[in-house]
Amino acid sequence: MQVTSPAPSLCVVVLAPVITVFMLLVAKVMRNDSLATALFWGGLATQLAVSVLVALRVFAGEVLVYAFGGWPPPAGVVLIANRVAGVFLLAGITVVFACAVALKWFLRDMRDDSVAAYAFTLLFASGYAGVVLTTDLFNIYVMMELLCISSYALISLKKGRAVAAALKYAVFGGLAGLMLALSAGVVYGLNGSMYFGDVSLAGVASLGAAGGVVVLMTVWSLSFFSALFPSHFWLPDAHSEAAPPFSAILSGVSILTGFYVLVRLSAAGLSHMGFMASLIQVLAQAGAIYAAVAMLVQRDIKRVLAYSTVLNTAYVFMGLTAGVDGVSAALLHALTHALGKALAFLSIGMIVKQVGSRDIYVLEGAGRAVPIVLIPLTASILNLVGVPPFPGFVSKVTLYKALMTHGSLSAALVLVLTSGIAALSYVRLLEHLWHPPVKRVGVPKLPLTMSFAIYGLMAAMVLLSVVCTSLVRIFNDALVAQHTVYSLAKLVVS
Amino acid sequence: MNEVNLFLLNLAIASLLISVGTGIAGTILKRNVVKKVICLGMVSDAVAVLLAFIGFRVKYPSLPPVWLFKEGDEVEHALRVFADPLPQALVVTSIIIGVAFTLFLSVAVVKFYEDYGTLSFEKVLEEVEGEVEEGIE
Repeated sequence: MQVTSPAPSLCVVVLAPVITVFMLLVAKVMRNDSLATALFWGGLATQLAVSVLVALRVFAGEVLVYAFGGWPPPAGVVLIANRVAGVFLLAGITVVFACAVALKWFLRDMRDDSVAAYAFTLLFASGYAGVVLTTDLFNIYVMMELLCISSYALISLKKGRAVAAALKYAVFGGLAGLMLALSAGVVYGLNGSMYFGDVSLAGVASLGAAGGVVVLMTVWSLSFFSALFPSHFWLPDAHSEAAPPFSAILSGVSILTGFYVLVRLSAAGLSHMGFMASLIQVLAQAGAIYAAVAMLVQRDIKRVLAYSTVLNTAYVFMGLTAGVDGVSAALLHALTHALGKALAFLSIGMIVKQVGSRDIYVLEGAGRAVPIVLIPLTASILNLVGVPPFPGFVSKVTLYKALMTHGSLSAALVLVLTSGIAALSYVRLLEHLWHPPVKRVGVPKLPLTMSFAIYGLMAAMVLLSVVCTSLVRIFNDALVAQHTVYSLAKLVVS
Repeated sequence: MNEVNLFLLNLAIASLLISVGTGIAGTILKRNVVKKVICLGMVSDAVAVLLAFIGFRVKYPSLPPVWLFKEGDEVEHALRVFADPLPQALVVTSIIIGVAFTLFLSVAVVKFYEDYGTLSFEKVLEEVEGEVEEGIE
């Protein structure tokens, strides 16, 4: 393992979009739309290119470290990219990029002009990169707020009831953010450092009552951002009311951050914390059953997908309590779900926009009118069901095996059972879309940009299905070495 | 630290925790979204003061962490009495985030009120579900 420090590319990945936002404001003042569009693409493309570079370097065996101002932890902010971070950075930024490509087509439904949508998409991308790379509890709070405030804004951009959903999300998200800040401060007070290498959740929990409360607060606020039952109440409204490209990045990318941060904090997840592990296990199982049943009774097609996000979050959190094997399986599942869900939301958004309704009965047969969208949509839904050639199958099987070896029989049972119940909803959805049209639906012309976005994501999914078995092994190795990487990075910086 | 000061410190921390609790309860229970935003502000301020207290842990009386060319014994003395500057940096950051967030919420509330003429988003979201049930959406 070779530690490279400083690696300015990490700094570029996080800061390039933010700097672009400042320039966007200038373009807005100048009322120059083409300049704004050019800047937006420049910022996003730079970030994507550099994250490809980061992923390549990480897979060549390097660990990238960048300390802002050269300050070592605990005083300084340190960005670290190991292989897990590299994969998640690349996947997340790819999804954001694909959704940005599709964005142009949906701009007409927005409340404000294009610059607002551009600016918040860039801030979102920046916040995501920050959350993925940072290794400091307080910086996690800052980056999480950047990610979340831009998410609230992205949701509220759509005309209509979206602003109500955004407010609901924002008010409770603000509360969760403050709890994260408070717990970061108390962890510093108890522990003397907020650097992930110095903080262990189990260690903090053993420091008396205050430690226990702080760990509970941290896990709750992070699970809120990942919409773990029962803190999922904001998700069905927020993700179904947002414009389709934003539903896609929220459901695909933003939802995995809370879980991901818990993994960065502790490589074995919560497995070695008795009470916390059983609490999360109970919540995850209850959430999976609830979401699978709730999916069955929805008539709004986007709400079906939103509840499916709650279901998959529950699966991912089940893995968090099943040792390093479980965590690496959960990481893979988060990844396959991110790509599949983003693709599903984008392609359904296309059909919904054409028909003008989200009601599953009104959409009867609407899929057949746009076969070019129906194919990727079917692929993404089969991926969510977990049908063999798709990566969703591999991730579910790996998760099942990890749960079984770890002795969480009930979790494994719930995983199989709820997958079965959810499959009914997915099949119902497909049945309605593949049904011969009951009335004539105007055949839309699929814009080139839109098909780029959809087929790009589908290509990413195919690529993932090729590499996913080796990814589990890579994740496993990276997680085992995670703590050593933190210690090495601290040494190298100071 | 003498007993009176200790008592005052505990009183301050207890009252801050109570205002955090009140704020959280208000955010969850109030239906009026403006009141929710005010309660959120309460939590935010109480959390900021609590974070600042962490910088003063066990050290009392303490001095502001300003380093003015100290030498020899003065350095040790300074390290003993200086307040920890890191939590203060955190407080400043969280206040700035709080301002931005409150601004966003205020704008969103105004837009929301303009559109619906009500301040309860729960009411509006319940209506959404009702309409979808009837297949209007």
